[in-house]
Amino acid sequence: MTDTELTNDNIPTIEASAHCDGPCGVYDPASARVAAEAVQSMTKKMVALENPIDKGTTEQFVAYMNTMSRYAVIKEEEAQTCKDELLILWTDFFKPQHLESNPELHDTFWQAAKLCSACKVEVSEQHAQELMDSVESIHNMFWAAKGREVPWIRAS
Amino acid sequence: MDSRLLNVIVKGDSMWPTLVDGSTVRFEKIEDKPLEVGQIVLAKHPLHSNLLIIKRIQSINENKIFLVGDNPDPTASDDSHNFGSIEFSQVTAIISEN
Repeated sequence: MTDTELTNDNIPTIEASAHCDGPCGVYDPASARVAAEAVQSMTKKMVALENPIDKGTTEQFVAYMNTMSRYAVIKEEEAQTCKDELLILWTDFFKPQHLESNPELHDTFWQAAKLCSACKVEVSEQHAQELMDSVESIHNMFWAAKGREVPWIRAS
Repeated sequence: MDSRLLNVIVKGDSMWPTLVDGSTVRFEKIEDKPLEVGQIVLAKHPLHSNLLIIKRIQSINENKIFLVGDNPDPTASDDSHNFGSIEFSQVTAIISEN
């Protein structure tokens, strides 16, 4: 018997919960996006920072090293944060039923996590952009699964 | 109209793939019918008295019923894994075969 046939008869209709074990609506790929943006920002800053070793003073070189180190630390930390946030979405939010409409879901997350690792190891603007692209794909899959249209935005 | 029957709109994915979120399924009030392992039932949530839940009976032991969701994901169902076994009196209906 179809849903329409069921609701067209005179039998009372009620709702009942078949929910998950956690409160719905606590997930949001925005946290992964912010971390990925930080990775990309730090990568760009590292590439753009001018090395004063041949023309600057010792003081300038120390400042350069300090600044470069801080960029690297932030890039490392934010790449790990991004990976952690993606893992939460992948293993907690997405369920087997989501594979029906997103057959590429596992590979998308796997590639995104690998890009987090690549961005830690390297100073690669290409991989930082690819990480952003992967997070955007996950953003789109996430909000489609929630049945909502949420535009992709960047903080920078 | 058969007063024993009830149409129930499924809210959530814990019974996926058997029951899909938003679908309507027919239940039959249990009255004096015996409950059996494997049946999909409508029950009162033991920790939220106003909430009705749809789950499957996984086991019956010493007058207690262990309810589970059909979704294979370990985080997909609020069921007896979380709230423990429930009393027979908390089950109000079983899914209708008609």
